[in-house]
Amino acid sequence: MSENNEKYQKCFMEAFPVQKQDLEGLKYQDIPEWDSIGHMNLVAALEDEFGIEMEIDDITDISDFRKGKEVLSRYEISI
Amino acid sequence: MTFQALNHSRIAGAESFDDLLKEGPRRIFDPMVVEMLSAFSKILMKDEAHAYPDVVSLGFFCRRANLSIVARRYTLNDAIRIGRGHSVHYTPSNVPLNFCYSMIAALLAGNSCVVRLSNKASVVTEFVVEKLNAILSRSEFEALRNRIFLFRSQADDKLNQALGDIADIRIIWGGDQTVRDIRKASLKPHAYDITFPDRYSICLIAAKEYLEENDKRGIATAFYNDTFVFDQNACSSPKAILWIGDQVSVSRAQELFWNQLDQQMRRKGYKCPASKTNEKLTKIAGLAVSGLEPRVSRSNMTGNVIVNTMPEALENADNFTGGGYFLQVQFEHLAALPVINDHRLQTVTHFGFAQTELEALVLSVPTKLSAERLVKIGNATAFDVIWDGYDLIGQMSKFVLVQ
Repeated sequence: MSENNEKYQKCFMEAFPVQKQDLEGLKYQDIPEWDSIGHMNLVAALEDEFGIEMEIDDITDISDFRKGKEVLSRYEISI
Repeated sequence: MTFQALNHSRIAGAESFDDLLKEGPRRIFDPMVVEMLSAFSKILMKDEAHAYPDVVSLGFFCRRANLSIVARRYTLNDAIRIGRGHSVHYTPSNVPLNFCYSMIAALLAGNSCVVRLSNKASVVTEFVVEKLNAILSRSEFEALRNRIFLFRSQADDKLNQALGDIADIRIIWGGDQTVRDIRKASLKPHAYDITFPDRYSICLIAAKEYLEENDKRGIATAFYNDTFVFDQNACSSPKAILWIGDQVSVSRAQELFWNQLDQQMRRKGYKCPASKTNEKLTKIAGLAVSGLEPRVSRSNMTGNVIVNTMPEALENADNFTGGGYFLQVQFEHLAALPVINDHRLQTVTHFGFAQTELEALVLSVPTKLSAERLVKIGNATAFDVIWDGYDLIGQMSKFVLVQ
């Protein structure tokens, strides 16, 4: 497993009360904690972890666990 | 009389007002200010803040990555830019944390900040003030403590004049009457006001695109956040929905939209305040006697009142109110929109339009929409240093030419 993948998973697990096995397939609003407020925590965690500054359109694009990886690839981070 | 001699209670920041008066301007996006705000952001976004969505939003705004994005807009030329000096802020009660955004913009622009808080205490205000005090008491930010002075006081002409005597810029939030009242106090010749008078906002939805959208629940959540976090009482809360499309699509879209919103309101446990009922009745009666043919529906579940009416109803902001009251009007296409050239129109939240379509609305002659913000549904309350048509960093700082 790549280092980036681990970091990526860690951000989700920090922002939401989820386990590693819950991550694949996890979508915005699937769990009460991933609401618009939880989303801000996730974005702040990703920015800190990967040292990036995300634009608003990218922030709103992270609609599920998988899509977030695609968004990060726009910042030249491959997961 | 000086401010120090007049009745007020200090809330946070400099121990003494005299200390603040000794502070001079700093450059915009001063590194220590950015460091302090980033640290502030971190503690605002901690777990305990999750009960307060607006606290997390404030933390999200002043996180390091966002400040860095904002700062980049101001690095286009190599002129020296510094603050104007002392900024004096009168902040409103309808949006509790507004005081903090106003202060943050002024700090980033290089100013010291005297901030009058609303006397209406709120849990979130106390929470944020406590965190601000905690940050300012850290030794690494000691040099910034004297640049901030938060206080509460009764409305008082003498106090307003004392602050007018020291202000280099004065920022007045809170509506028409507040602006008129505060402006009775004169400013120094070089100083000026940045004012935020009464404003209203609307929402623009393309029916066909809405019907095709898979994530209708997401739109309902976003619209809810725009609207009900402040009881539909913020300047940026939409008061009317303009639907674009043929009658059949619009009717179908409306039904789904309000249904989704009801469900979202139920999930959040939000009920429209009963205190607004009489005002809603009065507004409906007003539309009826003006011949604007209101057709009213009300949600039993949440108390939301939806009023189908005619385009003319949009011409008069007196037809709007808050607490779950929405006018809605159908238009066949964008070109059929009436000209809404009202300086009180602030935000248009939108769904289903291309950037170029929206720009064309703003740039049409005469302008179709005199709004100052066109943002996606969900971003109505997202603060930006470009607000109400002001570039707040630009307005609160000055260029210094060194040759």
